[in-house]
Amino acid sequence: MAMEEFNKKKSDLENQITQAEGEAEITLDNSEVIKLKQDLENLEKSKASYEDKAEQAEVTPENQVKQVESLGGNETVLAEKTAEVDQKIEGVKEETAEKVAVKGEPKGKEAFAKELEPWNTDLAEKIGDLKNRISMQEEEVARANENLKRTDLDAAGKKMWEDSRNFWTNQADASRRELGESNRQLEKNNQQIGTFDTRKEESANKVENAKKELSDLMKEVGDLTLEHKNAVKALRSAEAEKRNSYNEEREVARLFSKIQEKQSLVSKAEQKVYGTEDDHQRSFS
Amino acid sequence: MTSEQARELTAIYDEAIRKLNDLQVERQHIIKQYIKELEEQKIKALREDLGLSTNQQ
Repeated sequence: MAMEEFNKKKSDLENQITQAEGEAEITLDNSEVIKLKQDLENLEKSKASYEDKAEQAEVTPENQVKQVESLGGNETVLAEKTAEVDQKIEGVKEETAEKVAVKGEPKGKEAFAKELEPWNTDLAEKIGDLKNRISMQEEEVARANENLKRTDLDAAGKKMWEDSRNFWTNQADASRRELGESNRQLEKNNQQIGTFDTRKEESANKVENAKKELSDLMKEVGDLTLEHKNAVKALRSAEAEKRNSYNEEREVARLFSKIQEKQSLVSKAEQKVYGTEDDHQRSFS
Repeated sequence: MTSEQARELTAIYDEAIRKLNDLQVERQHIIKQYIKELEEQKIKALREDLGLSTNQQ
């Protein structure tokens, strides 16, 4: 194998290795997605098992009810006997629902409204105060305007009432701006409560879409995993080939050196048999 | 939802399942005990009807 050919092959193999390593890396980047999918599957299974269990826990099997009745007992007495444990079962259900809610289950419309209630109360109070303040500030402006109409005012007095009018006009403008902002915020809060159900539905749709996307992504991950396996296989085979090529090259070099050695021996033998070039020339001269 | 949230919720459900299992066993024990009581009462009544001693097994 010529050195040029060998170098080309080596370079090709190195490229193959780089590519295979790159593909392997892509697959590893998706390990987080695989983990999340596994966790979500486990959660769904646990939730389904819990719901089944919560439904069955307080139910007396039909055959036992019949047995009780056939022995002259009745369901009311049975219910009295199981009341305490049934209460404990209810307690577990309530406790679980609370824990799940704390860990991020979607909030209900009422809970959401309750959460916004203190803010809305503050806003309503602030709006009332601002309205009163604006009314007082407008009165001050009106008073200044009235005083400016007076004919007995000297220059200083006129300036004083002009300053007063400007001051209260600016104050009233600032209060109106603040009132506008508070009204907008209150409206926004109420709108959010009003659209809670719609937004919840939209979020549920988004979750559905995200799940679908995740499922598509998982399919892609599956394909990539297969590609990764193939890439690893190709990588191993490429490495083996690289090792073989290196060994081959060493073998060629060894054989070449042996050939050179033999050629040198042949050359020496020829010299012994036929003499050197100089000997020939001498014999012909 | 993050992986951690999912695992925390799974742990809550698993813990609840364990508690409900224990309570269901306790509930079954109460029902079986009541059935046993009713059976004993019935046997006692039968014995009395037949004029047998209630101490006899």
